[in-house]
Parts: sequence; structure tokens; C-alpha cells
Amino acid sequence: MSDHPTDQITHYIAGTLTVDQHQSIERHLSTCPACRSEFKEWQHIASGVVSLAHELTTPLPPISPVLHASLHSRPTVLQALHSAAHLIWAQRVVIFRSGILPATALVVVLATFSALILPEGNALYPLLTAIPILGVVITALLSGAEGDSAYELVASTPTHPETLIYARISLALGTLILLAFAGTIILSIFSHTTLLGGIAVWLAPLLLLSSLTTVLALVWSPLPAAATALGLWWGILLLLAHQRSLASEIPFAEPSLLPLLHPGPWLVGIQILLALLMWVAGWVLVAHEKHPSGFQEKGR
Amino acid sequence: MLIRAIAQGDTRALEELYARQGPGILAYLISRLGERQLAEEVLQDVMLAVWRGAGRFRGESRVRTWMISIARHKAINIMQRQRYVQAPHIHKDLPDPAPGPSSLVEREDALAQVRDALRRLPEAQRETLELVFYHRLSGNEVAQVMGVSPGTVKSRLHRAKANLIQLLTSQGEPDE
Repeated sequence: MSDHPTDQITHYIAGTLTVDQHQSIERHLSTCPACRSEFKEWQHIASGVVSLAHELTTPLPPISPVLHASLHSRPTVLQALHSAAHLIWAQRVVIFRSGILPATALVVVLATFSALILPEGNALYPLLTAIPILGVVITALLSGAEGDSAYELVASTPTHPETLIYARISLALGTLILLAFAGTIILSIFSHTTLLGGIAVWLAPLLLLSSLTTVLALVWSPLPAAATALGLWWGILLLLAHQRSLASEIPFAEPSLLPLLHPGPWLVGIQILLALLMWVAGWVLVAHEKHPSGFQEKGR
Repeated sequence: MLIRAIAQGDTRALEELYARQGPGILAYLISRLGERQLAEEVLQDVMLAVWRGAGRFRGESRVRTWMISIARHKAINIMQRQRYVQAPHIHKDLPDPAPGPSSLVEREDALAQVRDALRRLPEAQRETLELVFYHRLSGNEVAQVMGVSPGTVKSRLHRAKANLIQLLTSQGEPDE
């Protein structure tokens, strides 16, 4: 404790110090005129605060009949969808404040520009590489307590923290998809890439890798989850590049990753289906998280 | 234990929690929103949120701190949604202090001056003082509720005191 524990005088008056701290302050006040003067000033303020709060205290109204009726009612599907949409939209403050939006826009612009200046055969590589990787990074950044102030999560209760994180990831990935869609439109206008072909290259891998990262982050931790997904995707891209370089010389053996560059509807459908299954598995994990054992109510 | 009972669907536990914590939460909401009727409506919303969230309450904070956090979040939502502009630190429906013996009147006068000065404080500073002295939250709990660092709580307390001294000695308007 410092020589003059002035920071603790307010809590001494409020009675929120530990027994040891309280006794220590008491001893100090008996010997320090300066701190005693500070104490009297704070005591006067505290009396005013309590008096003002008492003015505002009114007889407590009974719990309303409307509230009683709501206690055992379940929201309709429309109400649940409205709540989900409202929750997701409310996360826009976090997305903007964290810098994710401008960083995403910058990467998508760079990827689109790179695709435009590369030769036709390589034009899809920037989108195939950058968009899914960006999805993994966004998902990992928004997952877990490292991505958010604990205070905000507590202040947002009773919404479950994982529900909030899911809402944020949904909004951030939705924004990424819109930006990537815009980039692909530009690419389709100024190159020989078709719009559907361009979208198919990045959409399914983005959804698949983001879902994988989300589920791994839930059961494990965001950083190793992102590392796993990025490592997997990096390995696939290297193998793809290797197979592509050999393709003109050697009819290579199966399995070939070249269909990733021009995915047919079946490959896109399988990836999206796998992504949806993982996303649902994630929600099931969140919804069925058990109450921690040994729960104790700490407060009054 | 009330929270656990509420999580299991016990409405009487909710009513008991309401009786225990309701007055403090209501006073907090009236102070934030400035309107008693609106505060009472929001209090019902807070209790519904407690009912729905009791099963996920982890006990990492005190129940009161948790409920004040919910109340604060709902009050902020309402103020943002309705572009709510509170009259500058003036609360409606406040009763006049009753007259009494002279020594009591003198004491009440001094207290009334402090109350008036408190009403003129910036909202964040007044809220910090209320959370510390009326709701008796620790420094870390106040930081938790207001979404700031403990250091910010300390500096708000000190600025509040400096501003009150300035107001009580009639030396001008308070600093944020």
C-alpha cells in the first residue's frame, strides 16, 4: 500500500474493502490528518449520493402480468429470427471498431487487382488463396475471449458469449462474401472469368475452412484452430500448384486437386454441405454446453 | 441459490430476487433514464432477461453486479434507439425535502446542495459515484459494469470530486 491510500478511501466508506484492507485504512486514518480530511470530504459526497438515490427510490411495483405471461412462453419462429437478425446487426459496432472491415476490403481489393493483372490461366489463384485465408483469420480473431474485452461480454449477458461470437462471425463473413462477390463481378467484366466460375472457386472453400476454424475454436482454442485450417489450406494450395505445373507434361495420378480451379456443381455442393453440417454442429455444441459443475452463487 | 432456482423455472425465486434487488435496480434505472415509468418498464425487461439467462449465469460476478450490467445495457439500448436526450442532469418527479427542526434543516440544506451539485455532474461521473456508494460495488465491479478499466474508474472518481468541489464553491461548470 502507498503512504497515502487515497484511492481506497472511497471503498472504505462504501464498505467494499476486505477486512485486512479496512483495518489498514482505519489505522492510517487515525494517524494522518491529510487523509482524514480527504475521508471527510468523501463521506460528505457519499451521503449526498445515497440521499439522492433514496429520493429516486419508489415503492417497488409488482411484477407485471405481462412479465408473468412471458415467463413460460416460447418465442415464435418469426420472433426468434427477428432476435437473431437484431443480434447479428448489433455486432456491426464491434466489426467496425476492430478494423476488420477496412482490412477485409483492402485484401479483397488487392486480390481482385492481382487477379486482373495475372495471365488468364492464373487469374483465379488470388481469389482461391486470399478469400478462404481471410475467412479463417476473421473467424479466429472473433472467436474466444482474446478477440473481445471480457467486460463487454459480461455486460451483454444474458446472451451467451458463444452466441455473440457466432453472431459476429456471421456478420463479418457475410461482409467478406459481399465484398468478394463485388470483386468477382469486376473480374468477370474485365477478364474471361465467368461470374459463377469465379464465385465457385472461393465460396465453398471459404465456408468450409471458416466452419472448420469455428468448430475447432469452440472445442480447442482460436489460435491453434486457425493454424490448423491455414496449414491445411496452404498444403492444398502447394499441392495444387505442383500438380498444375506437372499437368501439361504428365497425366498425373488421382487424386487431383485441379478441379478446385474450376469446380463443378457437385464439388461446390459437397463443400457447402460439409460447411453447413459443421456450422450446425457448432450451434449444437454451443446450445448444449453444460452448466459448470460446482456452481456457486457468489453474491448477495 | 436464488439464481439456480430461477434457472430451474421457480417463479417464486424470481419474485424473491425481484423483492431483494428490485429497489436498487429501479433506483439505478431512474437515475439513468430520468423517468420513473420508463424505468419501471425497463425493470420488467431486466427481470425477464434474468429469467431467461439464469441458466447461463456462471457466478463469475455477484448477482447484483450482473443485474446492474443487464439494466445498464438495456438503458443504453433505449437511449440510443429513441435518440433519448435526458434533460441535463435533472430528474423528474422528485419530492421536495420536508421541513424540520433547524439543525436538521441546516444539515438537510448542506445535503441538498451536494445533491444539486451531483445532478449537474457529467453522467459517467455521477453513475460511477452511485455504483460505488449506493450500490456498493468494488472498483473492479464498477469497471466491469461500465466497460472501462479500473484505472478509468479511479480517475472518474477523482474528477467527480474535483467537479463537486468546483460546483459547491460556485466556480463554474464541471469538466468531463
